[in-house]
Amino acid sequence: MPSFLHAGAPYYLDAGTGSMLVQMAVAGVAGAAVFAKVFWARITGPFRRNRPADLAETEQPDAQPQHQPADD
Amino acid sequence: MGVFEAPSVDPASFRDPGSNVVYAGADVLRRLSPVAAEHWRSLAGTTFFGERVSNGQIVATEEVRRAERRDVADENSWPVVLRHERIPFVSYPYEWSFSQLQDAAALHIALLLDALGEGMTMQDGYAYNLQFRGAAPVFIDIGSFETYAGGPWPGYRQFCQTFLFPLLLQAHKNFSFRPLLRGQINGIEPAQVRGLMAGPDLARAGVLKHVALHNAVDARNAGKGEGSRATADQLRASGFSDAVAAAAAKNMGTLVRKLRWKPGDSHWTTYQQTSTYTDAERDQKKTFVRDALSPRRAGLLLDLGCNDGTFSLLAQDHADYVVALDNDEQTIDLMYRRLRAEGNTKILPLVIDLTDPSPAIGWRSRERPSFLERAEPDAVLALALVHHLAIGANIPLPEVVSWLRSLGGHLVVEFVGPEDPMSRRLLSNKPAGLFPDYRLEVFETLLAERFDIERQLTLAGGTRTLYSAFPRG
Repeated sequence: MPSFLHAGAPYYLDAGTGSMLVQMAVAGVAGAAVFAKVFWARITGPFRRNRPADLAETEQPDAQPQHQPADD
Repeated sequence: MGVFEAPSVDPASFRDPGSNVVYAGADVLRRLSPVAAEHWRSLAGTTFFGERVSNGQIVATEEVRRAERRDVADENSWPVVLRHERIPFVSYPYEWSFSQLQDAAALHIALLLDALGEGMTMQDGYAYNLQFRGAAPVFIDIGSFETYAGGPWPGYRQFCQTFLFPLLLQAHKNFSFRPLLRGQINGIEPAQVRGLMAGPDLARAGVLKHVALHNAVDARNAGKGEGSRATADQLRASGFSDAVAAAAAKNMGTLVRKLRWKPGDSHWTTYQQTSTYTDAERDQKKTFVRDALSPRRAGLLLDLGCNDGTFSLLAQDHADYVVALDNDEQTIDLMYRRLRAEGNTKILPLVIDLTDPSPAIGWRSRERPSFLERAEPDAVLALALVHHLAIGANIPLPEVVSWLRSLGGHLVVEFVGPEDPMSRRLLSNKPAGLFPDYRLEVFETLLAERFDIERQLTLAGGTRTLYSAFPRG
């Protein structure tokens, strides 16, 4: 996506993915638990998949976590 | 803002489909969609809302009764119509000084915390949602409040772009936020502010998280295609609750309040101490201005080139509202803090360069009207101003006078003669003989062509002449 679309998008439609994620850090200690939960699956995901070689080749650092909670 | 004859939608009120502002006669109305109407019911039921309205921090708001709705809204699309108190003069963040933006930011966060404490949140974080009543910020976007459903603050990015980044740049880099905010209606983007922060700046308050990390996470996630709604859902499901949102808001509030802008002394902040005219002349000038203004009360009075606000303070007794302008931000910041300390709600100080006043910006150049479109004064003070425009900025004297005429109000103007030390100082920076027409007789003739001069007075020193004049025809 062109960066201007991402950064300048109307706010009632887009709060910004990065801007939401960083709020875990902004919240300090209170955000740490959320951070752990969100990223634990992402960090451990590739190892659990047991296919680290595939991941390295296709460069998918953003592979979906295995245990991502269902929406809502 | 002008009063509209027929109901008309505010040209800036289109981003949020849930609510918009409509002008009908003298009324400022807000129409709420069915969803927004439910949020309004929740808001109206909170404790903080009533409290903040009664202390003036949220714009006074009442529901318009069915019979009074006129034809501004059909009931299916807009089940609720609110009437807001009219803000005496609409101003924008790129016209505010550091302390004004800081106070507006602090109030915004305080309201967010209040809201989170009672099961609500705010869907945006936009500096344009605040206005000033004199030296007191007031939040005007009732449609911003909505029931909290978990997750991070959707307005965080907007808050950073229009409040925090501007404040950080000015506090840490002594870099004025005003040209940036004036240039981009959505404020300063994370990548832009990151580019202006050097390595050592990362140690300064707020930079590491809100700028560097924010920008890095932003860049990493741009174009991933996950979508911010999915991220919000994931965060919500991972325990981003009201307590976490409140902790983030609290940290933001602490950061905003502790930022300080420390410029050196400007020429103008010490003007009263260094100015060349005597106390006797100053008293003469005050008496003249008071006598000129007192016979007829003005609605809106503009004090052009207000400096420390001596004459704004004097004029406030003879006007409903005073907007005081100066192009020196330090002077305005100092004046604002003094007015704030005394709880003044009648004088609004703004940083405006009269040789380059705020243009219209935004969608179709209509979202935020230019300064001159907003300024419809009944009276104008232009004291010790004309020589700065005519000599300092090379604006031809006839042009200066016809501009003063175009403002349309009763004019109290001072002509500082070419032999005055202040004029001489300005003239010394320009090639000799550049302003042969800068003379009292010329000024007076130009003035008399466009105004009826009601009274005039040359101050004791002999180099400064004051006029009280009414626009002709």
